Amino acid sequence: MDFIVQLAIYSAIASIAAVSLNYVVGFTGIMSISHASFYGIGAYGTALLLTKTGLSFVPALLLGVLITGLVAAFASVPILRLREDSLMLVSVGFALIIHSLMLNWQSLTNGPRGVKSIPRPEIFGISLTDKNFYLVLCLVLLVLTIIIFYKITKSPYGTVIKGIRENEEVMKNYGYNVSKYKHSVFVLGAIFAGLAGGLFASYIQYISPESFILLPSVFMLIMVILGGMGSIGGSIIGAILITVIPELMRFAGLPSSFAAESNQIVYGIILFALMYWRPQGLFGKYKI
Amino acid sequence: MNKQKHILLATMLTVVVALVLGGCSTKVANLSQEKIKLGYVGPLTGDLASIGNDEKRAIQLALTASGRTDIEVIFEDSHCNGQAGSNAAQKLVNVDQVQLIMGAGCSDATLAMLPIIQQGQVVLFSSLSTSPELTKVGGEYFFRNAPSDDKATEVLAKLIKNKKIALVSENNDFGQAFLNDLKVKLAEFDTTPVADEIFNTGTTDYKTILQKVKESKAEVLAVISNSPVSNGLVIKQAKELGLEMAYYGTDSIAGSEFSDTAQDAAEGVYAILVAANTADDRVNKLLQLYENTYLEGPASDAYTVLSYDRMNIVLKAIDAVGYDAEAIRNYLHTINYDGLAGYTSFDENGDSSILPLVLRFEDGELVPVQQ
Amino acid sequence: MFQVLVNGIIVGGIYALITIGFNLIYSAVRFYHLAYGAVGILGAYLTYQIQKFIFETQGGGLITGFLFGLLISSIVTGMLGILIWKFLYRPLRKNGASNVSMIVASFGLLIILQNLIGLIFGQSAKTIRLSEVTTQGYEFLSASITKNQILILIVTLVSVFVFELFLHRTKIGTAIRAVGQNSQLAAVVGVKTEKVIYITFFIASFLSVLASSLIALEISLKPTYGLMLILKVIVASIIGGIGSMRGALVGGLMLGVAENFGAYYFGSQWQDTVAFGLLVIFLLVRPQGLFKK
Repeated sequence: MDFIVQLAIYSAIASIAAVSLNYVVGFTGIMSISHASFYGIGAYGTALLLTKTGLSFVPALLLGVLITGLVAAFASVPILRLREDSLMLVSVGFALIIHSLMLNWQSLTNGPRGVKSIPRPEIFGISLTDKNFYLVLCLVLLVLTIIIFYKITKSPYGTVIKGIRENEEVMKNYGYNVSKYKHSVFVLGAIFAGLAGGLFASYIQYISPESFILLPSVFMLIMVILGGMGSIGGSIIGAILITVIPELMRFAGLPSSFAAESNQIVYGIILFALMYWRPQGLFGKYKI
Repeated sequence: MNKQKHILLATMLTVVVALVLGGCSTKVANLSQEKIKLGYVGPLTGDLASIGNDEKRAIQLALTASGRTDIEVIFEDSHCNGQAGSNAAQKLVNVDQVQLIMGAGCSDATLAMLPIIQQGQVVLFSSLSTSPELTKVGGEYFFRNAPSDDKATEVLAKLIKNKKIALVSENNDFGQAFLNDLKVKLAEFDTTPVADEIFNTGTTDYKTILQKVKESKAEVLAVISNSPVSNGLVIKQAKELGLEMAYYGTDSIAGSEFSDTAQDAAEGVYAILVAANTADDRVNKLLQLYENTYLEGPASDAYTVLSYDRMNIVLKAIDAVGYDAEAIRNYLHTINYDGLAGYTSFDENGDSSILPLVLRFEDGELVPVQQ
Repeated sequence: MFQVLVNGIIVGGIYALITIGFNLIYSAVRFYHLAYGAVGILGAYLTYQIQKFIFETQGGGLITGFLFGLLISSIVTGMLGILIWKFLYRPLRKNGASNVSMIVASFGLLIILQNLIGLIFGQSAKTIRLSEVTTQGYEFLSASITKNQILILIVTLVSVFVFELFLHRTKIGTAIRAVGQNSQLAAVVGVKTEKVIYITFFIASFLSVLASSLIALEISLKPTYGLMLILKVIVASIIGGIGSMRGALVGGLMLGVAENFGAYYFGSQWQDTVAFGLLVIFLLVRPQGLFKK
């Protein structure tokens, strides 16, 4: 039924974002909290191109993704100079700055009023307004994402990155340009986040800066941590759980006077419990 | 590997079981009781939570007062967020099979819900959305008794034209849409504001903004924000800084959250309000009932009244034409309801006929002002 | 112009006051206790509740109610601080959690506390006041400052002074720093590490209630304030140097002043950009902050 299809679409989109974040955070060890910003830039890029120019879906999405990649390349320079908690903090700072730009660069983004009436895709003349077709589109792209990241992690390139995760200094001694590898990981991750964002924009048909503040980045991180750092399948499970569980809670029949807060408390408890009992997440190979 | 496979299976199983159970339980509920199910989607958590809760309570008060036991309202939280709002709407339309949803509040949620209610052919009735843009994009299933800010800006512009005006607005959909509309209307009176400051949602310190207002030598300060606390803090801090000017606010001025925050600084403040006409005895009775039932006053009187009216309008519609979205939709275009917010009728865009009033704080009470 | 500076100092004082306790905890346990802001706000809500009780049912004055509420809730929250360490953070540490893990766990705790506050006290803003009348501030060199704001600044300055001395001149203070730098070594030398950490959490949580209650006099109380405050505190402590008392003061003041000048020249909507721009700049250029620890 439609409700399940919609949840499936959101889950698929979240999965693309989570798998790409897993690549950056879980696999490579770069603790970035700015992933939702790239998701947002992809969303805005696609949305603005779809509504303000005559571009159709596929070129708009690709351009949106390209723009995200460029911003990520630019942002990665300062962000990747740091490690661990400092990196986390700087990525938070970056995320909040991007949010501020989305909110205040009114001539570009229409500010808090957001971008309305984003059209659903039309690919090769077929209109994809129907939810079921859109789900197929998302699933196809998700499978593509999984294949790409799987291949990368199993390749020699992936082995180098695993080495960087374990011990950067040693890799440097071996002569690897660690910095270049980290930059490429960061940008690739951001590109797929942008892809997810573009899909989101066209589905929900209205975006505003509100959708992309700090909390979505935290949710994405929770998805990856929950699912398991370094595990592609785990990230997908994490994405599905985090997308679907709050909606399932609607059926739990909690009196609405505290259902909303209880929902959030459950998140807090999940985070805490994960850190205590299973910091590597459900299927993870690496601990935080 | 075995352990992981077990976890995987367990998780998938949980998700599937929960979904099925969820679907089942509502279907069973539908069969066993003949209750009419209405939906509500609103900001029960997040920035507008205090107002969302007001709306919910008003609906409950109206339902209790009507004595109807065959009507059930399913309350869903929009989290003031597009994705959650769209899921809430989808669930109500698909799973609970409602014909009418009361909501939403935050524009993110409302706008994300529009495609869903249009496709599902379900009526969406808002008591909180005032953005002028909804007139155009709302669609044929969208109605609101909260008046478009179009009307409020007109009233305000007429009041403050040809004076030195300082505008302080919140950086959200409400604030910016209102601000731009107001500036357009002021321009028609050849009035340009001398100060135009924008603050982000959740700001608590307005002193530097007020300093700029002071330096602009404005005689009038209009605060455009849908947060009662922000309104209150601006006015309180203005008084602490010794600013002498006429203050104008919008509908979040009426309510205990504003009064508590601003305290006596609220004296003399004008409000362009859409409801809560305290000259109407019925309004006072409702506000008193709210306070007796919930042991605190509403955060926003205006939206409480509008939401209360809304529930009653919906009840009237169901009684007149039955619980069917098409019938209700057509019916709503014909009514002229004598509500606590005034006579309510809807134009072809679903906008209501309610006009904002001008009120002023005198001795701690908001009283209507003769125009 | 001068008013803008004064505004920055006032708000900076508020930030600094909360940053002091945050830095104190960092000195002892070496991780970011993100839930700290929410703990303080929870305590302030308690102050509000007690003051309300005394004022409305016991016929006490607003000020007596406030002071009484402040005292009780500070002690209660201080105890809560100890409980948080003992039953929530310490088990994590014992399990070998990394610093990043602790941040994530602390964030989970923040979400829990914030929503508990919403559940217990409701989402509407609660106001604490000391008098029934809003008074205009004192005029001083063309700038205006209210009694409450002066009080906050005084409390901040005194606290910085007191805690600076405490950390560097008393036995316990030295013990705290020792535990922070190397808890195993400290234990070997005979420092009762557990007791030291309990004391730290108690004092810091106690202080957070004092700070939050004073702040509530200015801006009322909402469940979301815990998060809002801690974000500013993080920026202030990065600027000033994490773990340093002087750093808390300077960091807080710098942040407050930068925000206000940013608001004045660029518009208030850019205020957050200024704050987080500063964070990014400091992290890149001088991550240890102005005062090394």
